Amino acid sequence: MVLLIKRLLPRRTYEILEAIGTQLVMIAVVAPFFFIFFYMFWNSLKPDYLFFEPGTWFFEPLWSNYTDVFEYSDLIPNIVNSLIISTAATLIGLFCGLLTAYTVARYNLRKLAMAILVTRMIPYITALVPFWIVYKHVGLLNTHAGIILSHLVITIPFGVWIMMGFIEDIPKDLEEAAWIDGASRTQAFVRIVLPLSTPGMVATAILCFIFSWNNFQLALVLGGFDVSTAPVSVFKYADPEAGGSGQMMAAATLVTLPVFFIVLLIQKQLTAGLTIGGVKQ
Amino acid sequence: MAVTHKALAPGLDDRRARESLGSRLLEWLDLQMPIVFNIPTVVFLFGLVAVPISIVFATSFTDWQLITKPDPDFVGLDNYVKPWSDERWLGAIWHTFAYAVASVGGQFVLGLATAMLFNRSFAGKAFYRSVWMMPMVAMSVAISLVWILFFDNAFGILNYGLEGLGLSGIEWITSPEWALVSLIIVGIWHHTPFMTLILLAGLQSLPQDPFEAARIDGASRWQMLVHITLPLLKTHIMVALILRSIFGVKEFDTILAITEGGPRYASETMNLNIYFNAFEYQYMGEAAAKGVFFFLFILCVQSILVKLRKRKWSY
Repeated sequence: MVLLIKRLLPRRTYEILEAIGTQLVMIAVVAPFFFIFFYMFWNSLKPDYLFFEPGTWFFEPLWSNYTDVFEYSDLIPNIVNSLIISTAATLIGLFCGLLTAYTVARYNLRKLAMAILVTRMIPYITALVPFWIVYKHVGLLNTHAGIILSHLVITIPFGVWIMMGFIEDIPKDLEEAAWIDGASRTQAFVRIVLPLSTPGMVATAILCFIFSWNNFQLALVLGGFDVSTAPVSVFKYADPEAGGSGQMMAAATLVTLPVFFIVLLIQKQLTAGLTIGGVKQ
Repeated sequence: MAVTHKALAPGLDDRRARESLGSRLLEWLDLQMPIVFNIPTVVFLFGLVAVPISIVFATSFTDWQLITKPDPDFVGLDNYVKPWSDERWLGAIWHTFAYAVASVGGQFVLGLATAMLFNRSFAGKAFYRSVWMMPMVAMSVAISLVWILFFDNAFGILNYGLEGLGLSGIEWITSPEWALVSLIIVGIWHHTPFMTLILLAGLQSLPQDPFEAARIDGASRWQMLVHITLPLLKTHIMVALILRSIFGVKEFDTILAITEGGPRYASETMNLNIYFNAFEYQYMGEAAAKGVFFFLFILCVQSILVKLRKRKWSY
């Protein structure tokens, strides 16, 4: 069929038709993804009564859903908590990840790498029972430090695995050249490997941050009335009767949009990071 | 070499002493690097993983309940035996399995199709890929909220569409038959992009020669897919399947937010079951035993898939 059309039409026309066809297919493919985020934002501006008329798409935008979320929910303080927790967990995870990834890559410590991989397999719920018991004894429940510590379970193994991919891509020759010039291993690491792995570190940091930011289960159990994270606040809207559909979508939009901006800014490095993290295991 | 030169220069004794201390430290660090550099990671992971696992293991042999039985007694393997006569727990195992298999299967088919679409050059590819990647970084609780509105029986957009087509609406998340199916749809939506990303990386690393040869021999597109692309892609396919199956088994956020395991436990997975046991009913002993079982279950899933990757797929 395609071949027949190809033969019948002049080459130029066929190329144009093919380009249009590709665009249509791609639009159809990404539509379900685009639509959900569009719906999220669009409905965050909708007055609640319009939820009962799903066919109405145009209306006077209503920003009060956002101010209602600020006023009636603990989302804003919890976004601040989330920023603190995710930043701290990311920095520690990146530090540990960088050092371990370097030694794993250069000294070929496969067993250590496998042990770290196993820690990634542990379901959070299995770790949460003992975490909760210990935290209750030492008073870490409902604190920043407690949630940051638990988030290290996400960021350290992830940081190690992604940084390993990036460091393996740095040619060893450069370090060897530095050794010949009299630099020690440590000096070569600081002067050569660190600067060269900066792009990888940025990608790793952002991915660690996003995974920590999005994590719900750890803070749900270990957080509480004083300190919790953004997903826990968003979860409180899971019942449409709690705050109405408008506030629901406003809360969802508030925690989703910042991440999207980051992704759009550094899409390429992120793709590299996610692929390395997945494939090189 | 450098040190001897400095030793000959007069008036540098102080500096020499300092340098030798510094260089001795550097020398020591160089020799001990694999140990020193791994101290932070190993300390953290030991404290955050090995210690908790031992505690959960110890707890699993007791009948500890926070409120009703605060002083735990040793009960041996009771907690490992009892759940097997509990229909709710058996159901949870089945739901976990069904959810993981169905959602990963859907993700794989769609992921492969889209990876092949993205593996060509066309205008606006970067833009489409950005949109495509968005679910991967979106907060699962936030997108669950959107799906809750979509699934609404009376006013959700899905039933509105179905009714517009003249069909009758479905009780997506309020009927036991459809609740798990709805969650599988969300799972496919949420994680297909990850599958695409890994398979696309695989497709981009394939050699072009076999395809040229097959084209010259007159192979159809379908034949090329089955006999060339899939076998060559096997490493990437297995990695993607292993990762997604493990995360599928562990799925928690969307299930708790959308159905809370209901209605009547019809969509409750092992993860949720343990969560309710530990933090709602506060049966710590039982939850610990189930948690240990859940961890072993995941390790089994992983090792089975890793074995499959080594055996059957070696062409």
